[in-house]
Amino acid sequence: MREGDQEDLELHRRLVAGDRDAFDRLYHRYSPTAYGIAFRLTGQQILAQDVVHEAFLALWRAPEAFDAARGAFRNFFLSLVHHRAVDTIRREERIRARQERASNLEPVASEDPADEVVDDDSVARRRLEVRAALADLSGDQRQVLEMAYFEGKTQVRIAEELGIPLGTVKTRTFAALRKLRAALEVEA
Amino acid sequence: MDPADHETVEELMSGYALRALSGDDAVEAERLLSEHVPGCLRCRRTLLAFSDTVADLALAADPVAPPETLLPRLHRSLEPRRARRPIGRWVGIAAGIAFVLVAGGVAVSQGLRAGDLQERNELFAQALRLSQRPDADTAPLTEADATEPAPVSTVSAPDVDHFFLVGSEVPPPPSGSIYGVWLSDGVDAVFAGSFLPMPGVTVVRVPFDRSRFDRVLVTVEISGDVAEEPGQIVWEAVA
Repeated sequence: MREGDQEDLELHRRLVAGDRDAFDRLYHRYSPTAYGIAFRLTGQQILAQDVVHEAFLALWRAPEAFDAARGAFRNFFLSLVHHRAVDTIRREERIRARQERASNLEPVASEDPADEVVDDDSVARRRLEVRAALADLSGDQRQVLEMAYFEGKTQVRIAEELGIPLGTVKTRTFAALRKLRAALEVEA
Repeated sequence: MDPADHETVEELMSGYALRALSGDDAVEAERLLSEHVPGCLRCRRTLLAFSDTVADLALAADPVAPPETLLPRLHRSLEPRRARRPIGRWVGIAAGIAFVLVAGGVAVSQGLRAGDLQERNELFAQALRLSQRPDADTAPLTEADATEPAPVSTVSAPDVDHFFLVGSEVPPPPSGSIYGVWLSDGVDAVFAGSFLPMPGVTVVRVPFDRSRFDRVLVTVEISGDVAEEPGQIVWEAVA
């Protein structure tokens, strides 16, 4: 079990019992990372706020959705945030496509993010490990991974945008995740 | 299974963990997740490991302080926890995301599918299967004049000709009225049916043509009236 996981488990146990203080502590611990990833994906503060709001609200309403046997709480929650962010940008893309067809609207411009924050120690250490592992991937591998994760694109769309076969996207993605997994398991 | 076949499955699982599959790959992943992965220790471990690794990618983004208004907004949305008895879970395998459903309620509809316990369970099963697809989209409706999420969500997928409205502890509409479901393209709205929730879970299946509509409205309608235009909109979502 990684540093910080035990504390998360205790906070989650209290959350299941309806403890609002535990909710606040989890919020302070993970909202900067959650907001950071939501903002990175959506590019808009209002959408990022909605994503984080929905994710924390879902956590409050159904804390039993987290199963400690399946992995760390942090991974569960950050996956929840990421899924909601991807759903949001895909939905926004559909809306924007319709609006652009109708009125040639300009794409929504990105907004400036809020101030940077100081991480919880265990999160900060893991962040360094993840970034080092990402930096260790080849440029091609990192590119397909980032397009899928940070831009919410499907492998078919990545292949189209990069002008490479779908099979190549799959191979690069698989290799990238295997390498990342190996690096991060060692670090953990 | 041949080791090379496992590699093929694992390659697909890497795309699944990233939610990057679509079309035939998404369908094949869904098949493997129901037929092969549950009984294959190697592929199950790989999927869990990939899901963990993908979750870690969130840490590669710069942390950003959310606006100070966000926590108070959340506090306003935190209803007191009710005692509840879970009867099932919708498990999103990659993230372990689940919605805990609550016993005791049956959705009643007029025109839309719902009804007795057996039918409700079948609707649960259908909604569950849809929610487990890699390309499934689960989105809460929002209150019409606010940004707060409604107690109802849509569960849909791109190539499916219907979606589900799923809610827990959906409040009843005012006396003498029912909830109406309307599909809209932003200009016109077409009545799709109506329903009355009961305490517990509400699941409603709504036929949906994506080429014609891009939003769903839940309205309050006078019971027994034939509505020609949407009544008061209480919740809405863009599909």
